[in-house]
Parts: sequence; structure tokens; C-alpha cells
Amino acid sequence: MLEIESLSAGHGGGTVLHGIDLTLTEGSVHAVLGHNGAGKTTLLHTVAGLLRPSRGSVTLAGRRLDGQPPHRIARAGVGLVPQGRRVFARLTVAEHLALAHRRPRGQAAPWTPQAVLRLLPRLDERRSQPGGRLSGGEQQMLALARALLGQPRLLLLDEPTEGLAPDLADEVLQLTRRLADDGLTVLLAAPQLRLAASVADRLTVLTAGRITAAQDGAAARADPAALLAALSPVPVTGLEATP
Amino acid sequence: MGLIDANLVPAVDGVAFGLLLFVAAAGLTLAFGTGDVLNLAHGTLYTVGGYTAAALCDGTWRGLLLALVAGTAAAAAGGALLAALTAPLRRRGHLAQALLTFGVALVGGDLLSSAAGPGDLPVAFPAALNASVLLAGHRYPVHRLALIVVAAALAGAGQLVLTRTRAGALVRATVDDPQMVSCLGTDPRRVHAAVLVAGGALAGLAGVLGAPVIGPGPQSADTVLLLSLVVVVLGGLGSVGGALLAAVAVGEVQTLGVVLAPDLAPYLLFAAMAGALVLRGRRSGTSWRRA
Repeated sequence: MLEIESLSAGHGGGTVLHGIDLTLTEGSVHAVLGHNGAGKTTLLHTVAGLLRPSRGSVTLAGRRLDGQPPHRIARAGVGLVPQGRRVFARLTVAEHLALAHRRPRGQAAPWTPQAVLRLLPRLDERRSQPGGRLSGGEQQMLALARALLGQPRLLLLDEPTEGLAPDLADEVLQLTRRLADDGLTVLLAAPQLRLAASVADRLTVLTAGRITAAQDGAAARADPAALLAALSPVPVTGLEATP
Repeated sequence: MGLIDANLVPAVDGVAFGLLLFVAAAGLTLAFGTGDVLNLAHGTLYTVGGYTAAALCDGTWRGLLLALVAGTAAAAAGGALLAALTAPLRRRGHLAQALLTFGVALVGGDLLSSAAGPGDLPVAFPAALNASVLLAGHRYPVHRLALIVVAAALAGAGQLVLTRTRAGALVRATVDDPQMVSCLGTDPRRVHAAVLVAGGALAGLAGVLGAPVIGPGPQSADTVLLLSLVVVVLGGLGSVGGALLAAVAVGEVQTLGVVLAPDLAPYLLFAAMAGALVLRGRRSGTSWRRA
């Protein structure tokens, strides 16, 4: 479904991602783990077209996406739920839904504002509220609704549980699982192994822009030691020798 | 009561002037909000309307109507030209684009005044608009009352479009976060281009309507640009509601201020602008970006 091959990218002059290879199968949740600065957001932004890769390719269902502007990539079926939600502060919930609703000709367009409100009933009560007045959880739901209304085949979720109460974080992840079970492919960036492992079919650890470990979800749930080792802070060496 | 009565005419003048400025400056603030580029040719688009009025207004209603349509269309075309010219400079940053609009303003201003002559041009509105009526015991020009009504209607209609339509929501979303708009499948540069065209149309329309207030002449582009910039800075970049309040305040300073404090009036505008900048600088940066 999604093929990422030897992808390198960065901001300004610096390279953040170094030759990433990832393959996502349709209807799976693929979690990318790593510390702040490991390159999770850079990876998602490069797939979404907000950053241009310096090398490598991104292919969605046989179609090359790398080098395309973000609005083309969105129309090709990529939805981004960005870190920090980034809802439009002065647009109401209803305006978000109307603006995000795409009805591409000749393609399946299952998501309507009514359908996302059935999925996310919390938003229905807040229809006339501006995005900036919503709680963190509601903003997360709105960012998800906004992405779904673009009729994506691939959903990029950047730390969707950040700042949410544990039960709400669980709700978001269970929702992600249900969407994937219905056929949506999900690339999930998450800082914590425990939450991500509960829903992911495959987990990949990024360290300083390189893949340092990868495991299937079932194996990681059974024995997370390998991933935990890859996620543990890099041992600091050499300091002891400093006089 | 005497004070109010004595200052009624300049106060109403201030409203007329302010609303005219608002129609002229609304496009400037929205184009800045959506594209982050200050359009320094905005005053020139206003004068395109003014010169069109001078050429087509012959004292008949038909001539005025023709000028309104042609002036709006010509300035909208000017906005489209600016969008097309700045598009290739997108990767070179905001300064390059702003400089290009400044160049367009210089060239456009010279072309207009070499075609029309170095002086201010008279604009012949229909006689009915040049008459005056009694307003609370004072004679007041019909044209200015009509200007207040039309400009207020335009401001109201613009606000409705901005707050009640999908296109308006798209513009406000682009002011807020153009990257997220692009992730929803819409090219924010097209939104910016559309705002430049619509803002140009409004400026051209203001140029025709306001010809008896700020008429077509070699100085009018600079005057309108300067006052519009004051309005945009006072109102908050990208904020339409703020621009409306600021425009009426600027109108009052320019009219009532001149009557009440003639010595201070020239400084009041820029003192207010400096004050707004200092106050805003203390608050969060987001207060600059609202729709």
C-alpha cells in the first residue's frame, strides 16, 4: 500500500532522516517509535509533502508521491492528523467539517460530516464552537474528523495521544484500530511503546533518523525487550575519562 | 449639546471616510493574512478605480454605473496580474514579493499619471449626488451619505461572505494555518491569488465610490496605501473586524481630529499606530493573525 524507499529528508540544510525503508500493508497500523527529535514528525511531514525529500521515494498504491505539493498528496488519499492538532482556532467545528469534506469524482467517498459525527459524537455537541475553544481531546477528535473527510487511504497520525487523559488516549487508539480494521492504512508516530504496541500490527524504532529496530505487533506485545532496548537512551561514553 | 452639534458634520465625515478606507483596506489585510506578503501596489489598485471614474463618469447615472463596473473589473485584473507576477517569486521569500509589488506600484503610478496628466482629475458624479440635504440642521453632501450607505452595505456583505460561506471559511482557515489547508487538498496559493483578485476589486470599487473624497491624482495611491497600512496595523494583520474599527477610528482622526486638535492631528494617526505596535508586541504573536 505505502512504500517508502531509502528516504532522506530534513529542514534547512540539516538532514534528519537517513535512508528510511518502510512498507505498510493495507488496513494495518504501523507505529513509528522514537524519542523527541528522532525524526518521527519529519517522516510524517515528508510523506504528507510538507517537506521535500532530498533522496528516496514514497509510493502510495503504485503512485509516486515524493516531490508533489501537499494538496496533491492529500487528494491522492493521504490524511494528516498533525502533532498539536492544529485545528483552525477561529473556525467552528461545523466549518471544519464542511471545509474538509471532499467528494472526489469516480472514487469511493464514504466519509460525510454526518458519518464522522456518528463516529465522534462528542463533536456533535460542539458543532457551533470555534476550534480554539475545544478541549485537547475534542481538538484531537476534530483533527481526526478533518483528516477523514478528505477520504484518505493512508492516515498519518502524529502523536495523537499527546496531552490526553489515559482513558481518552485509549479511546483514540481503539478508534484508530477500528479504522484500520475497516481498511484504512495508518502510520502512527508515538513516543511510548506501551500505547503503540496495544494497537499496532508492526512497530519500528527510529533513532537519530535511522531505523534501529522493528518487530511485529504480536511479538512486541509478547516480549517488548528488543524494542525497549532500542528505545532506551543511548549510553553516554567518554564522559568518565574527562578529568 | 453645542459641542456635538458643532462637530456633527466632521464626525459624520469621519464615518464616511473610515468606511471608504475599510473597503479599500479590507483586501490588503486579507491578502497579507493569506499570503504573508504585504501588497505595496494596493493603493495603485484604488487609483485604477479613480482614473476609470474620471474617464467614464460624465454626470449621468449610466456613466457612474459603467465606471463602477469597469473600475472594479480593471482593479480585479490588476490584482490577478499581481498574483501572477509574485507567483514565480514564492521560493525567494516574502521580501522579494513585497519589493515586486512596490515596483509595480511605481511603474503603475507613472503609467497612470503619464496617461492622465500630472494634476488631480475631476470626477463628474450625477448632479443628484452633488446636491446636499439637511442633516440635523446642517447641510450635508448627498454623495457622502450615499458613500456611508454603500460602504456599510459592502462591509456587511463582505463580513457575511467571510463568516457564512465555505469560501469565507477557506480564507479564514488560510489566514490561520496555510499548511493545514494544503493538507486538506486545497492549494493555499490559489486562495491567496483569489483574495488578491477580490481585494483588488474592492479597492477599485472604493476608488470609484470615493473619487470625490480621495480623487484620482499622482498622490492618491500613496495616500491610500499609507492610510490602509495604518488601518491594517491598528486593526491587526489579517483581521477584518479589527480593520473596520481601525478604519473608522482613522477616519475620525482625519476629520474630527483636525477640527478638535488641529495641531496634534498630523501626529495622532502615527502615535496610535506606534501605541498599537507597542501594546501588541507585549502580547502573544498570535494576536497578529486573526480573521
